[in-house]
Amino acid sequence: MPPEKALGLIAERLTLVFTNTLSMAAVGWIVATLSLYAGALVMHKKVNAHPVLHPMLLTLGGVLSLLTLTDTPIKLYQQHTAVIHWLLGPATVALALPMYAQWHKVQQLGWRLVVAVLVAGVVAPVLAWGCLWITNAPLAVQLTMLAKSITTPLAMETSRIIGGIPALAAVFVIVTGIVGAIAGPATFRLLHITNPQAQGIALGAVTHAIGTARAIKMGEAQAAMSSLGLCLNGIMTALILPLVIP
Amino acid sequence: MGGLINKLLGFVGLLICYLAGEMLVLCANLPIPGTLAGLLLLLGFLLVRQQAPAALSAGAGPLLNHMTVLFVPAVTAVVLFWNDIQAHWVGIVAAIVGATLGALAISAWLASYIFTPTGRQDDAS
Repeated sequence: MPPEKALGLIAERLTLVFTNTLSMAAVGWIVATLSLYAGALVMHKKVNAHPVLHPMLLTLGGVLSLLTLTDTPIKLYQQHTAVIHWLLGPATVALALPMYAQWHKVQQLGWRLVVAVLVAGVVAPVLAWGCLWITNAPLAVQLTMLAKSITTPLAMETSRIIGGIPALAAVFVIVTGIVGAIAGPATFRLLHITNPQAQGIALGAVTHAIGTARAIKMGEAQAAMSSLGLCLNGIMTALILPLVIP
Repeated sequence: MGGLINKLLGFVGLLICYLAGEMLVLCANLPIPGTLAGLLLLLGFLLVRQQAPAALSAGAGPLLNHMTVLFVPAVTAVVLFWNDIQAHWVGIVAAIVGATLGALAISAWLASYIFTPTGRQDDAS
């Protein structure tokens, strides 16, 4: 696409986002969403950050109840809150900062780290996809599941490109994280996997940020390796999936 | 006041990287998300510069800390796919619970195999 046309397209999208925000209803829904989120954060803190009461799920529950109560179509709500969704773009770019902070460790650990993350990055989506393939789930759902182990913003974008469903991707990703955070440590104990670095890499690469939050509570080695797994697998999967699935 | 200006400056920096990433993907017809291209551009910039500008970290802070709420508008669409989920819940649950735990076990087992022969690689930090 020629640069002028690309620039025009980007400008058009931006204008749409901001004109959508310029109405009382839009402001109302934005305020409601942010308030529900603030409430969800308080609740999450009250239960000592237990993974099941993830703030996203709590906020989602609140928003969906409000939409039902006011009989508002989801498409309209999405239009009103387009600016919140749009901020996800710059926020995803901002992930470069924590990744940069971990970068020297990548060089230090070298091929061992890359191989370990690559294994996790391949095994997790293939196993998950297999479960859906055997049960004959629709193709779009199968494709969406391939992105379930990487951080939510990258998973949503990647699933959109490969023909999946971004909304489902976000839910699959978050529930995957919750499962890993709750049952991951027990799985390691059961199988006598005691190496803290290995535990960290697996948690980060397979269960992204929510698994990493759990790894931080397990110890320093687990925490460091988990953030590495999360960063590396996020980049690798988002780069490779669109190439493998045209 | 200075803090706020710093945050805004950092946000503008992120915005520039984001838009540059989108431009790059559209112009070069790349099969990757524009946001990922923006992320990689910023990561490259930081690696060349060997330091993260304070304003950039200040601007990124709130976005990274509260990224969760940014997913909400998109995720509400999950209701539209409720029928698909209900019809295939067995496979979906197996994929999310079973496959996740299986993948955790396999990758942790393999990683401990990869990392053990070198002996102590204790974290310096």
